[in-house]
Amino acid sequence: MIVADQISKHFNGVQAVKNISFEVKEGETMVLLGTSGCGKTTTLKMLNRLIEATSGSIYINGKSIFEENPELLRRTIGYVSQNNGLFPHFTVAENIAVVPKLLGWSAQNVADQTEKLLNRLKLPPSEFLKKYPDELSGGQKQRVAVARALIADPPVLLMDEPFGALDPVTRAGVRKEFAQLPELKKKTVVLVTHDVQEALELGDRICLMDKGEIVQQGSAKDLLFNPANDFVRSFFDEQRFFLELKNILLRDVWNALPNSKTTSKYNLAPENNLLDALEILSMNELDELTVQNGDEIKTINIAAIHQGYGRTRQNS
Amino acid sequence: MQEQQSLWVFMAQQSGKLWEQTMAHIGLTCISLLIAVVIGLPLGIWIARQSKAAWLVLGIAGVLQTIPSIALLGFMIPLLGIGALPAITALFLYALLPIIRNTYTGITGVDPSVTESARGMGMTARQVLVSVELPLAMPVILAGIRTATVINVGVATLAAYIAAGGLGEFIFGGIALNNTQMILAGAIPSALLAILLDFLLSLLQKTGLKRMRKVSVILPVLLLALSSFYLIPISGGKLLGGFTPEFMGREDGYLGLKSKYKLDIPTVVISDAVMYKAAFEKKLDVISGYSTDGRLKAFDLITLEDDRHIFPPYYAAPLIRVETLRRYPELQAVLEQLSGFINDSLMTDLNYRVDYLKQTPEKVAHEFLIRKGLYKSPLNGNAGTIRLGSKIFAEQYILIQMYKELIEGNTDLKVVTKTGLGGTKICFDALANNEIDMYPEYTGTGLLAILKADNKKLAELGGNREKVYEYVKTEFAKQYNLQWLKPIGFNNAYALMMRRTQAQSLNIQTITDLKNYATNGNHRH
Ligand SMILES: Nc1ncnc2c1ncn2[C@@H]1O[C@H](COP(=O)(O)OP(=O)(O)O)[C@@H](O)[C@H]1O
Ligand SMILES: [Mg+2]
Repeated sequence: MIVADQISKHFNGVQAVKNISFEVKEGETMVLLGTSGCGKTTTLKMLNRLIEATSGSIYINGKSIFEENPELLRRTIGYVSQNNGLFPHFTVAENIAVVPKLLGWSAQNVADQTEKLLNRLKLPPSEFLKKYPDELSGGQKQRVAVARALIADPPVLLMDEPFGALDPVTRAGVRKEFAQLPELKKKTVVLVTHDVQEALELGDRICLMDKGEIVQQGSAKDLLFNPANDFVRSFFDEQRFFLELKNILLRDVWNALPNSKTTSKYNLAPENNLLDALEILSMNELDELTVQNGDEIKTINIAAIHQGYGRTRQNS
Repeated sequence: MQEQQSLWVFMAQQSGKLWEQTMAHIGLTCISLLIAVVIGLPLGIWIARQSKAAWLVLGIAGVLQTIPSIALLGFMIPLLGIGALPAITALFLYALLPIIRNTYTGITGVDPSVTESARGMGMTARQVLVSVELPLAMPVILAGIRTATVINVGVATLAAYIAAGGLGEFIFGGIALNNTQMILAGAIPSALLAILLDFLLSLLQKTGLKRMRKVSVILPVLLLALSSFYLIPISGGKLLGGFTPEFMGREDGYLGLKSKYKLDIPTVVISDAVMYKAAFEKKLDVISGYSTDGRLKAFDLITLEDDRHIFPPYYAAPLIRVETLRRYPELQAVLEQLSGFINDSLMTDLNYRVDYLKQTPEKVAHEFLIRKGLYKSPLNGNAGTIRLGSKIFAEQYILIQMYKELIEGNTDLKVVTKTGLGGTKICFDALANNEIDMYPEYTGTGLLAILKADNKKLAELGGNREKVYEYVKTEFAKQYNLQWLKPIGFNNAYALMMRRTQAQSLNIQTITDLKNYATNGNHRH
């Protein structure tokens, strides 16, 4: 869906992005992860030509973006900028209607879609349509910004630190809601963040960047368990144990678990991870609990978690 | 209370003029403001994009702002003449800086993440400007327009100096005539106007970000509507008069022309500083001036004879302290030596040399005395000191220089000069307080400015040269113990003036001729 080939960006001689290449498949969420100043935003903005690449080529849906009119291109790409970028002099409804207006939608169509989307984002239209951005909380603003990017149903969505301005508690909540939005399931998303947990939670694939280059790209597991170099390894070190547990799914250790006949009070699914299991065992002072995959039921306890964790680390 | 009532009466009496001036004032302010917005706004937007050009444009606009308004109007006259055009241009230049600067500040102050997300959604540069940047910058831009408005209402009073009308006509007329009611009749409406326009704009500004899109429509329409108040004085007749604010308000001036001569020609108000030149450049045909002004000669103007004697005589004569004369009786003969040597055109010529040829008053005075055989080399100067004063213009400088050389050549007295003592009041007070011994004064000034003769007295004297001289001489001796010596001979009075060529071709020599031409001459052309 999106192919970036050898793209670079120089700002007056300073090379912000150096010859990077990546590909984002249709329906996939790719995360650009890295510390501040490493070139994530620059990379993202080159995709909708808010920043013109100095060299390299970018294709979206097989077409080179450099051959398209930049304004028309951007109308087909949802964009959520770093500080939400809502128009302070527009109501929520008017903010959301910006792209549809550019596309020439009928007023009725805009109203219908807006209402649908706001309901989905838990912003009751009757209450919010006429509000101005400065009357909204941080989390509400963020949701309006997402609604504005999604309203015209663009196949591609670019997001620059979309939850960056929120406090940690709100951020976790909004992120969870966001991850579950049906509108997003089929979209190709490029998301920029410096938050490791966010990257691992939302990204199908992660590009870890440093000083304008991609140090490693792959799944969360690849980066955690097969770091390409010391930089990647040390990048995750601070929360390594926690992240690793979170990234080993019960499915991954399925074969090593003993069978069980009945389900227990706490019954997990194979998509849950070792951290979930550990959390429930500890919080409820249990010895074991069950995991159910269709008819198959298995039990898991502290020892199994130990074993699973150890084996995954060794294999990689 | 008395003051207020009479102000009210004055305003009621002059309501026609007041209304006309107020409308012209609003018009001047708003036209110039409109042009400043039309030019300043795009310029501000442009420099917000071209940060390299910003300092240059803001610098130039800033320099324009620092030029004193009178000077700016002065620069305008050679380029654009007199009347509405130079006034509007000058006002426009003043309004420019606040508008450009605030547009620039407003646009560059818009949160970049907002404009970026606007572009990111696919708005064109133009759409970003119109729907995002301008509405968000509008409160700041409006603040700039408010500043410009208040500045313009104030500066527009100066338009009266260059025949563009406005409330300055009353204000400067009132100052010149020392007429408080007249000053207030101009100053109060102009202050109210500034407050009112500022208030209206503050309402627009307070409509909040939400309605800023409407404001961008309302504002130009409002300005356009207000601009239409300005009806540029049309010179319907063949001759256009240009008179100083002072002349306009005087019985021995414009009012007398109307009542005694029934002269009725289209008239604009204009400053003395530019009036002569404007007449020379055929922007004006009839002006009010002083009959010995050097500019008469410089611009080839002639004075019309005041055949009905509405202008009181202003014969110059030495005014001296009686004590001084008593101590040095020889002074009288010396000071009266000039008598009969200088007529109007001679004095005009001497003034011309100083004002236009830039010769020093010392040189002009010295050469004159030599030419007339009056010069003698200074004697020893050990018999005492005489202090001579002068008002602050060339004619007086020349005269006291002549007196200095005469005194020092004919007596053993030494002379110190105190030149440039400002106006009549300063000179007269200096003389009365024994800070100077003598200065040249004019009979008309003595009569009107110092003795403040009432209308009854004026009618009695009837503008007669001898009667006025005898009256001031008697009264000054009685009231102030000051002595008027023999008049020099020239009369520096008010006079109507025209270009020599035009006056000759129309065969106009007296004010009555002018009046006849103005009322009957319609068929000549
Ligand atoms: N418009 C610009 N002009 C000059 N340098 C820039 C510009 N934008 C970004 N940079 C530089 O490029 C580098 C990468 O910036 P950015 O992509 O914004 O980083 P990130 O989003 O990862 O924090 C930084 O060193 C930044 O200073
Ligand atoms: Mg960034």
